[in-house]
Parts: sequence; structure tokens; C-alpha cells
Amino acid sequence: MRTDARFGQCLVAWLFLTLPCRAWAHEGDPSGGFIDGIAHPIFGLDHVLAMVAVGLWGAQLGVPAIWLLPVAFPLVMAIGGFLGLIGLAIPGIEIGVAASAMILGTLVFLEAKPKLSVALVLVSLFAIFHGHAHGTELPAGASGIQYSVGFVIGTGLLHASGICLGLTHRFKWGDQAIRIAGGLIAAGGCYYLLRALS
Amino acid sequence: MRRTIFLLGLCASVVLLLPAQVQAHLVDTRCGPFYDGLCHPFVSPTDLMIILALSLLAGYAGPSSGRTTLFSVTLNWLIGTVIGYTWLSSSFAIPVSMAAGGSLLLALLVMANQRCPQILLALLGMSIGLCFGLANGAEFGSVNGGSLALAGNVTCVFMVTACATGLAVKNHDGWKRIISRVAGSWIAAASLLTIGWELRSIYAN
Repeated sequence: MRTDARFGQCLVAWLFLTLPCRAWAHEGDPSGGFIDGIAHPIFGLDHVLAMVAVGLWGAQLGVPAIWLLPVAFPLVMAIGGFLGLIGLAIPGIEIGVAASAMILGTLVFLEAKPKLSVALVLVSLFAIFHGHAHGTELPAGASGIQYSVGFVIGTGLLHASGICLGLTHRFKWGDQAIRIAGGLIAAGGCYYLLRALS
Repeated sequence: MRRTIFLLGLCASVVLLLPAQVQAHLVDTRCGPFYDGLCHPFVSPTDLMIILALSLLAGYAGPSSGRTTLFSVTLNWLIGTVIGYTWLSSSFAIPVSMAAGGSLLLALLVMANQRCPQILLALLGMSIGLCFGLANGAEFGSVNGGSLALAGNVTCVFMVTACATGLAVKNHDGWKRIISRVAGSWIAAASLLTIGWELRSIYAN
């Protein structure tokens, strides 16, 4: 019975995989549509590092930080994006983005557990930098709403990935792996920081 | 202080009431106008975001409020689409910034896990249903098979509202409530960015 069920699941999965799909022979969507919005945070490695680090750190901090940080981040990031979109300049954005990956990675590596309010303020501050950077980079196009929705979902999915990876911290090997990942994120942040400063 | 708040409110209202460009196209599902109308809210995120935010908020207030909101939104949406389809020209539209402003406020309440009184939710449902229904109905007036598209559109609104409200009513604690709050945060963020886009296009012009 169990084998039959497994066979059925495999068959359904195989059928889905063999469905034809349209080829996308162009990189990105110049009109700024939904898919382009999702892709934007995912294809910027400096942003990916910081957002995954937020998820990992949230998982290390436990309840309520595990959900409070990812709830706060998109909204504060949108405030930063809003400022960027209306053309309000914030100095040192690239340095801020790189520093966020470096600091958050270090905090994950050290398994730092500050007060919840401190963690929230820190993450919100970094979210402003990330949002502003995205806001100024967003392409001019007709489908701004769809782009925005995709962009927020893309960011949220990165947090969710970080949280899912971070949930392994209850195992000893998982805890070690997360700390190593934090170290790698911090190293990546250092690289981007040097690049932003040079 | 009151004067400052009044002036800020006035400025915000002026910005939010700026005219919007009409996008009078239905998505072509190739399954007929009913399904085109059914899919329309999914390609008009402002409609979808405000419905989701209101439904989640209604679900927070319990089953009775959820039911009231479900029927007040859907019935008024139906009335609005019929009026819009029959009498309004396709140039009628709700400004995107106004729709996004509304969903931003509702989504912030969802994010903050707030309970609203039933009467307020019913009134919000009526006004949102009527306004957005009018705009949708006006769009359908210029397409082939508009009445079927209209029926599909109202069906979609009913289904989305019922599902979101039901989920929020059922999932009232723990992780499941957190998912609703995260959804509120995402809707609020997308709405705020949408307002930013609108302001940017105004500055660019």
C-alpha cells in the first residue's frame, strides 16, 4: 500500500516535470513585472546574504524573534524603498548593505542573543539600507504594482529560507553548520564592504 | 497639533486622489470570459491586496464578523460591477495610490493583530466592494462577454474572501496566526512600494 502510494506520488511528480513550458529567451523583464520583482532581491548576492542571515538569526533567537524579525523587515524595507523611489538620498547605502551582511553574519556566528528590542532596531536599520538600494534600482516601467508584490514576496522567501535552515539549530550538527554559515556570510559581507569602500 | 495633523491628512488625501491610468484589459485565459473575469483580480494586485487585507482583518474578529464581511463585500461588489458595467464608461478607475493606501492601512492592522468592530468591518466591506466593483464593472463594459466576465469576477471575490476569512477565523493562535500577520506585513510593504511608484511617476512627469 505504502509502495503504491509512493509510486503514485513519483508518477505525479514526473508528469509535472514533463509538462511543456515556455522558453524565456530574455534576461529580466524590462517592464518590471512580477517575475522581475521576485528575481531582483534573489539575484543580488549582497542582499541574499543579509536576508538569509536575518532568518538564521531569528531562528537562533527563538520565539518571538523568529517571526517578529521577518514581519518587521519587509515593512521597514518598504519604507526604505519608498524613500528611494521618491528620490530621497541616504548616504553610504552600499556600505550599509555590505555592513549589514557582515554584522548579521557575525551575530549568527557568535550566536549573539541581545534583547529583542535591540535585535529589532538593528534589523530595521539594515532593512532601510536594503530597501533604499532596491528603491533606487527599480526600473521605470508600467507594472510597478506587480513588481512591488514580486519584490516583497522574493524578499520574504529569502527570509523563509533562512528560517528553515535555521530550524536545524536544535541539532548539534545543525547548530555548528549555522554558525559556519554565519561566518561565511560575514566573510561575504567583508568582501562587499571592501568593494564598496574601494 | 490638530492643525498639523489636518494639513498632513489633507496633503495625503490630495496625493491619494490623483487620477490613475485605466488598464482596461482582461487577462486572456483562453477559457472564455467567465474565467477571464475570474483571473482578473490576480493580475490586478491592488484589488487582491485590499480584499485579502480586509478578509484577514475580518477573520481576526471572529466567525460572525467574517460572515458579515464576506457577504457585505461580495454583494456590494456585485452591485458595483453591475452599475459600473451598465452605466459607467471604461475611463472610470480608482486611483492606484488610493487603493494602495487603503490596503496599507488595513494590512497594518492585520500585522498588528488588531480586532475591529463588526459594524466597522461591514461598512468597510460595503464601501470597498462598491468602489472596486464599480471600477471593475466599468472595465468589463469595454470587453466582449463582459457580463460573463463580471460573474467570474464576483465569484473570484467571493472565493478569495471566503478562503482568507475562513483561514483567519480558524487559525487564531500560534504559528497559523503568525502566517496571517506575515501576510499583513507583505501586503503593507507592497502597498507602500506601490504608493512610492505612483509618486515617482508623478515626479518623473
